[in-house]
Amino acid sequence: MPQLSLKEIIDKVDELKGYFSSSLRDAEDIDRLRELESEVLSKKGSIASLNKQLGSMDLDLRQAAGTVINDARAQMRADYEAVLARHLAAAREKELEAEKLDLSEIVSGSDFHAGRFHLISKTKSELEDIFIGMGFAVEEGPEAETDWHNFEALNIPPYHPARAGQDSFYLKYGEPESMLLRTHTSPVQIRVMTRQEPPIYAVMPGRVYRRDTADARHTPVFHQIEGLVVDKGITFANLAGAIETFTKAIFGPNIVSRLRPGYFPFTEPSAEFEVTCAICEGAGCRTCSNTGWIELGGCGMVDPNVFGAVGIDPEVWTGFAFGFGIDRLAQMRFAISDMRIFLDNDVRFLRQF
Amino acid sequence: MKIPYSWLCDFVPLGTLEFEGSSATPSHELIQHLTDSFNDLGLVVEGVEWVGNGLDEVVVAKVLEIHGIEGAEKIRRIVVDAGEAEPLQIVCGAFNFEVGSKVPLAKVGAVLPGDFAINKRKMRGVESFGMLCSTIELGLGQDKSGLMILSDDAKVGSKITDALAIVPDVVFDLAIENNRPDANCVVGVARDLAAWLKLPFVAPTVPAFRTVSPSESVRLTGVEVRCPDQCDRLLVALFDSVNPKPTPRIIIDRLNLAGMRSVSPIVDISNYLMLELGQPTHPYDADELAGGVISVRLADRGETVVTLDGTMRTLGLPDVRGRESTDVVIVDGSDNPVGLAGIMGGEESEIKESTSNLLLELAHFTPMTIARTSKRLGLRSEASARFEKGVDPRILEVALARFSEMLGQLPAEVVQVTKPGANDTWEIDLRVSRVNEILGTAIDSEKVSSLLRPIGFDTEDLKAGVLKVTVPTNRPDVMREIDVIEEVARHYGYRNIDKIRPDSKFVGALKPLQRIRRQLAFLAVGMGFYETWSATLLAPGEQERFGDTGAFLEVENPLAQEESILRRSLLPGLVRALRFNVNRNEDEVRFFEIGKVFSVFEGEINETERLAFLLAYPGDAVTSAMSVFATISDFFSLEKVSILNRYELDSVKRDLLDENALAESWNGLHPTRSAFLVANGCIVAQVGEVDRRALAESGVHHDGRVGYLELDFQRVTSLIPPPDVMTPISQFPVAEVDLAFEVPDSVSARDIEYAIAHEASEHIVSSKLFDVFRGGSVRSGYRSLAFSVRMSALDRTLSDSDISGVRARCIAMVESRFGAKLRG
Ligand SMILES: [Zn+2]
Repeated sequence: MPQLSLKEIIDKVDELKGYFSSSLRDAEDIDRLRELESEVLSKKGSIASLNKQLGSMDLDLRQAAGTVINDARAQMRADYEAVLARHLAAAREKELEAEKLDLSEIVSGSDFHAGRFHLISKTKSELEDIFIGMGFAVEEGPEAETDWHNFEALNIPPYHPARAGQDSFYLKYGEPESMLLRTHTSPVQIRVMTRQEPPIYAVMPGRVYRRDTADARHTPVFHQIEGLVVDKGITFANLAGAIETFTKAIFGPNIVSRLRPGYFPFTEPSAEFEVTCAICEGAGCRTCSNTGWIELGGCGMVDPNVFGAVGIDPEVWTGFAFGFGIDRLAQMRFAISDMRIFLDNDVRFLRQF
Repeated sequence: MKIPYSWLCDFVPLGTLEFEGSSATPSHELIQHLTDSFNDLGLVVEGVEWVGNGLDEVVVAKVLEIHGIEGAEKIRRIVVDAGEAEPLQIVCGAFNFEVGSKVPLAKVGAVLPGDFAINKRKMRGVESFGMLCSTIELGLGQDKSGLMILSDDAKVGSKITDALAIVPDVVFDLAIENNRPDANCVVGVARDLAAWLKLPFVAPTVPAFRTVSPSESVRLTGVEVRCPDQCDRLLVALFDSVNPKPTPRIIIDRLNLAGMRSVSPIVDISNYLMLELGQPTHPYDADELAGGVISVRLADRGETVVTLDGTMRTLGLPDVRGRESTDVVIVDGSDNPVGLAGIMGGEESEIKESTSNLLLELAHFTPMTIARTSKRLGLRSEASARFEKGVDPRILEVALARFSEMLGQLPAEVVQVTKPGANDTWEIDLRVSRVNEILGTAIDSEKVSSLLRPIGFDTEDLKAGVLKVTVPTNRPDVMREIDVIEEVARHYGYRNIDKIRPDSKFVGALKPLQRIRRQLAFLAVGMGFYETWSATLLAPGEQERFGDTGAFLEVENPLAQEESILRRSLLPGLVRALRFNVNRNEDEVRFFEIGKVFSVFEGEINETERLAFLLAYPGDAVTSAMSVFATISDFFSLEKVSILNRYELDSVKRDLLDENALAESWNGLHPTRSAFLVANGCIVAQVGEVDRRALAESGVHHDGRVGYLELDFQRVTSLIPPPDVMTPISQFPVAEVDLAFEVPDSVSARDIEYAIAHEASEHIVSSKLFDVFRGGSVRSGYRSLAFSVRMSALDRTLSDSDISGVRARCIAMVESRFGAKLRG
């Protein structure tokens, strides 16, 4: 191989640079670029073969030529990277444009559907959680109940006038009028007190039945939640305090509660409890018949006869109970004009909550 | 109970309370104060009615002319004479009058009841100077069909209140609780109110007269009480040659305001006294009574009496619980029933206009006897309602005296029969400390006495913190210390008791089952299901429609036959919900429900909780129902559940089930497209298609195949394994092998999948069915099931020989256990 002079090397390098630079400029796609890189800059490319030709040169000359070649290679590599980056960016842009997706066109429910809790069960869970926060357990009992649990143990013997107000669905089972669909959740109190020693702090939600013709404010099947506290030193003041606490938790801090005398055979003294109308905050409106108050439920101190029926000593333990309608609460909060809608299961209603 | 303000004023000087307003008509402030007071006393005010108020500017007008109005069909132009210099022109929408009619006119400036202000108006270009009124607009009645027509002798221009002799009043409608028998009358309410307002209570005055026992009497020797346990007091009075004056206007008004009608002078007095004193009295025509006397006895079995309402009543029969009758009858001197004691008089001896000699019955019946008879006969009256709750036995004499006073005639003779002790008061020891223990108050014995005495409870301080309380006979509800405490609380004022939040000894938390129930519900909602609450009570035959012929519970006394059967499954209710929505063009529903079902098994009521899913949309929702179960199973890592297709029930697989499992309340699904999910011999759930035939019979017209899954909540939760420590995860690569078997149709694919995953080799991490096909090279009665099996080891990368070893064990197990054959 003939000996090359430094000048010849420089010329060759310049020629190569010119070729590379114009080829870079003309390259139409990334494939062509990569081809060019391989042709010129790779280990088998033109630059590398030029380098090989230096082998026989004088050391000084070789060093000088090597510098020229290396500089040129670095320069071309940089140019190449820059052009490649530009091409990659353009290709990415083109790809993104092609993949464009308008997510506003995606309609809800095409893959997943959100379900809904029934308003009643949603309300029930909310109430349970409030009472759990107050240190109460959640207790349950059967819907097909004995007359003893539903009435007698609750100080409501046969022919008691209170039975007239809770017209019952009796079941064709056993002795006449011995089994019925529970008319309130109070029998669960009896079940809890017979299976558990005090202290008791419990709420008892559930489905109840009354033999009332359905109208806008009544359905024969509805839901109640009942509370029972039995402990040493429990007073009527504690009852009032418990009611104040949970009504504020349900309706908000601006709501106050009040008690007025009422009558339930299983509590004595008994009370009805009312809360500030949540719609008008006490100013008076249609919902509260302009009184500013909404009657929510009943309550009272556990009657000694009830303690007697379940074998709890009323001289040692005192307690209170309260109860109210879950459906009625939901009806009031969501301005539901007719309660019968709760049993229709109309999806247009269900999906609102 | 409806109580006029004016009547209350007879017994408590409410007019002395300082409120603005004239004394004739109480002010709104006073009425509001009284309303609040009643509520505080537990005599809940359900309504306040202002009667005869707002009528100052209402006068008698005479119709002079009636003209149509051009372009108006529903109103006319009326010219009236209202006693003024010029006739007035009124636009009126009523048509029930003619020229010459006298009608009420509310003049411009009048403010009618309900704050309805009358202004000058213009309708269809015609001016109207007032309004002609109906009774409802004047608060004088309920008639709104037309104008109130006044009598011809009403003086034109006079005030309507004068023309009709209306006395303004306010009527309180009070809801009286069952433990307040004393408040079922005006006097009782007045006593309670007076005590609360710290006003004097003016008890009704009692003129004295002599009563003797029947044996001492002249004409009433035959009077007997043969059932003193049911009737512990009886007064019988004779009034000879009565000649009652017409009922005074004030009595008629008060009866009307209290919701009763004037009938005849004697009946009016009787009714008035019942409202005022709470004591029913019963007048008889003495000449119609054999022997001129009455007695009281138990009814004979099957005895009949025709009551005043003309109905024949059969008495003396046992009640529904088989208890002996305690029906009590009033009989005449020949022992023939003349009335149903305490409930309703008899037809025959009813007093008439011609009645001259009057026999008056005043009795005290025990509440239970009246309650039982009234309930069994389904017959309630004003009298029975009072006796049922308890009437004051000492009020009989007062009532008789008032009767005599109002009749204006003394009784000729009065006899009384009293069971010993029937008139006694009773005493209760009241511990003041107990009052405070129950109420959370800090009041002393003096305060307690001051609260009890005004309502008729006498107290004597026995010292050592005990009060001896003498209960008045009008409070039969107060029998125990706690009952007295309630009276103390009432008059102390509930709103004066502090509110002290109780401090629970416990940390509140849901129980495990309740938490799982909520998780299941969240899972269901997360899968896109809407929660329903369907009816518990179904129609006869509704469950049979779904092939469920099991024993059910039935309501003895349903409101309607369509709601008389307790559901054994949630299916019928969910199908009802489906129908409701399909009928409203919502044919895509995914419902779930958690609720109780009821069945009878071996004579016992079986109440269990179920969770059901119903899926309906165009297409086949059945496989989705199955995958709902798979998802639940996956989420809770349920232990093994076998799948028993319904069409396989007769096969050998029946062994999976305990003997009685099928007697349970599982409504039928499609016979060849449904399955039971079985564990430990019990049916845990059923899944499949709701039979189209049953849907059609239920009135559901849906094009798709409706999927259904129903789980027994308790049983499913019992399959949730207890918490365990974590399973180590291999750090080495996973090998995957696909195996396809030819498997008899009778073998459950899920069983094989489960066996491969859990029983073939410790190295198998999972197996998954990924392909099923029938036909082709597969023999009939078989299908090809392909499983993807993943394996790995904790300590190394499985070698090729490891993998082929596992594969071989797996194949051997499936072939031997399930009668399957590996496909080439
Ligand atoms: Zn309001």
